[in-house]
Amino acid sequence: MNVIESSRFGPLEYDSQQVITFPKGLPGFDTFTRYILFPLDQEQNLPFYLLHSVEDGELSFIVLDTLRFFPNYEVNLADEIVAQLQIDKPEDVLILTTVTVRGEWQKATTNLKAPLVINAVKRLGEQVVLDHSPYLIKQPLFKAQGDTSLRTREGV
Amino acid sequence: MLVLSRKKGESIIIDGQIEVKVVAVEGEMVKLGIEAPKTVSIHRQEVYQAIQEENRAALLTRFDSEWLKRQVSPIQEEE
Repeated sequence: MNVIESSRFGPLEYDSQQVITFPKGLPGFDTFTRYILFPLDQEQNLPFYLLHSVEDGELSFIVLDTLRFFPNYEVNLADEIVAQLQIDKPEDVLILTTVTVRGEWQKATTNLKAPLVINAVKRLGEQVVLDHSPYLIKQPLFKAQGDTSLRTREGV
Repeated sequence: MLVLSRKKGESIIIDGQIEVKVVAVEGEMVKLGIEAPKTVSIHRQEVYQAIQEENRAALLTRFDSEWLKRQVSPIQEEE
C-alpha cells in the first residue's frame, strides 16, 4: 500500500496497480505523469471523482464522469491517440472532464473542449484537445434560468 | 524566443524531426505546414494556453458533497 499526503483530503492510500499514467502530463502540469482516481461519493453515486497526483500532494482535480452528465457528448479520437493510449476497444475508454468552481457550485463548469481520455485497462491517459469541436472549455453544469440545452455554440 | 525570417516555401527544422514550413502568405495571414511525429501534439497557442489556465483554475475547486446531493434532480436530467 502506498500513501499520498493530499493537501485536500489528508493521507490517501492507493495500490500501485491503480496508478494511471499520463505520459505527456496535463497542459500546465507536464512533468506530473502519475495519478490515482478516487470516487468522491460512492453512497450517493455522484458522478464526481478525484484525480490525484501521486507525485505532489497539492495536485488534484475534481473530475466529472462526463457521459453521466452529458450523454450526447461525443469524443472522436484520432488514430494517433488511439495508438498512443493502446486502446483495443471503445469499452476500455473512460472520459472524464475537469470541473472548475469559481465561487459557488451553482456556477460550476466543466472543460468539454479538452477531456481526459483514459484507457482504463492499460491505465494510460491523455488530456486531448478537441480542436475542431464546438464544445466549451467552460461548459456550465447546472441550469441557469431554465436553460436545459447542452450548449454547442462556438467556444474558444 | 528565436526569431527567423522565412519566405513562402521555406521551412525550419526543430529538434531534427519537426518541420515548420511557410506554405502561404495571404495579407496578414501566414499559413504554416507542420510535419512532426504523431506523438507530438500541435495546437494553436491561444487554445493550448486556455486549456492550461483552465487546468490551473480547476485546482481550486472544493468538493461540496452536501450541495451536490441536494441537486439530485438536475443531475438526473439529461443534458
